Amino acid sequence: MASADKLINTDVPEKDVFAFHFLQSLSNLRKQNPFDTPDQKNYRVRKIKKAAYVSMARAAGGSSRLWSRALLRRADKDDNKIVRFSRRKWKISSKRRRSNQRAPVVEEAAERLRNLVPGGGGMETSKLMEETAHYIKCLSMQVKVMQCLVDGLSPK
Amino acid sequence: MSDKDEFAAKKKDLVNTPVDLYPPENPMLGPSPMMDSFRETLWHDGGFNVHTDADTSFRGNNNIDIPLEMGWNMAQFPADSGFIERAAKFSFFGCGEMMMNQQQSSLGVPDSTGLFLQDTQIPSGSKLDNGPLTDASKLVKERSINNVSEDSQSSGGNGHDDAKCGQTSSKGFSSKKRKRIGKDCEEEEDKKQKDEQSPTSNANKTNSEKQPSDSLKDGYIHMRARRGQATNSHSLAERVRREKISERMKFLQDLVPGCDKVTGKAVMLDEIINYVQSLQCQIEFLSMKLSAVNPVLDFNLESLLAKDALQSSAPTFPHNMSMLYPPVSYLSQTGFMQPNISSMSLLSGGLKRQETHGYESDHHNLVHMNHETGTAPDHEDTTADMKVEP
Repeated sequence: MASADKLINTDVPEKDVFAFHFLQSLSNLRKQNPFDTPDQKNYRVRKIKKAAYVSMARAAGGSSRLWSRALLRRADKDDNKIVRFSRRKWKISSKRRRSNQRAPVVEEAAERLRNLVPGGGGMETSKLMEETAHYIKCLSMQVKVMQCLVDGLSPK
Repeated sequence: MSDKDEFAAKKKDLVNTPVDLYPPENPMLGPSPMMDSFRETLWHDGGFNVHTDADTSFRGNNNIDIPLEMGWNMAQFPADSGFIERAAKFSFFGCGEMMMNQQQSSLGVPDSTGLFLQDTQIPSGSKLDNGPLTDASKLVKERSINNVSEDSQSSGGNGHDDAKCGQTSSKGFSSKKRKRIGKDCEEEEDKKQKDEQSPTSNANKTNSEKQPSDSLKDGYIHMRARRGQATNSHSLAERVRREKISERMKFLQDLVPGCDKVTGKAVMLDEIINYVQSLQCQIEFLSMKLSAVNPVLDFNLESLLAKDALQSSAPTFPHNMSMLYPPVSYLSQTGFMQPNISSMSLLSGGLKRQETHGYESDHHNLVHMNHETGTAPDHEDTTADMKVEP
């Protein structure tokens, strides 16, 4: 079990790191395009959401994790052409097709999880679980940070 | 060199008629490539340049348009001059042997490929000086068997090697096949192997069979030994993989709230998926809210950053933010956000007050409520779903 604990390392940095990265990306966003009209609200929402994800990936250690690497790569690709920041269909590898024949129920559920976790398309199932654990930790941390911001800014 | 000369003399005795037929002065007139190569090796024995030999043989082979032969030739003459010398020698022998064969059987494409097959085989063999005659005789037998087509000829080389290897490789193949048969047949197979093999090899066999099961016993405690012995490597790997997955599932179970009560992998995965989705929805929702309060954030972000990066964020957040409430005009602009915000602040209760110490548990309670009860958070979820544009 000690070796297993060594394998599954899902240490997440402190909340400050997430907050720092998020605020930095927000300020960068502000510098790039100062908002003007409320018509662009959807655009702004999308931008902030993307900033949240990208800052989360950066705070989680940049390219040290598979999901953060995939997320950053996708964000870089999206920067060139402005498209909506949504989930993408990942290519189906032969490994996955083979594993689909093994345990249909679990693999079917893992398939849905692969679509949720960025970069999950190429992962093996056990690796997917590990990345999901780390991703969940980071997501909850990011949610906390954003909640803090919103609570601080929201009117009494 | 003396040995080679001896063999050359023997070969000349065997096939002396073609030499007379085709004098070496006009190399391009040779109608058959066999003749060409034969004569070229004679040239080489007479002390001519090696590279010209290679070139002329290449041209001679171009006469009978077989691309396979070109490939053989290119591979056959590397830059090493010693190797070229040897190859030329053996092509001579092969050619002489070919002449014999030509008298026996009809001259055709299979024979020519056989020539080059032999050329490549001989330098790779360990016997270089005393070998060619016996090897040539072997090849004569081979060609008499495999004279039908090119494919059978080219595969004849492999068969020759297998025959050289002897019975060990065939035993290896059969043992590989036996492992795949199954556990029912395995005991009988073991008995047969005891009969067949010598006691030392039998001991090796049993040792190699015992090793993986032992390592598996050490690694995984609840692995059944009888089953582990019976299954092949594929099912063992499959079991290891399943072990890994369930281990990580346990790890995930601790992370996701409300997942510990659930039994069954599929349900647990569903729970995890729901949790991830809810977290992503939350981020979307919160980014919406942040975009609503965006303008105010603009003013004091730099100072906030400077303070936030240095100090611990949790206590400083509310105090900083309390100073920069949005103006009333902006609130009227984003009036539709009001109920959401109020409901959120209502839901999160004393979030701000508890931020310093109990934020984590509070947040988990919130998410828990989202998952379990679904009464109060329904409001939040529905508003989020309504407002969120994909």
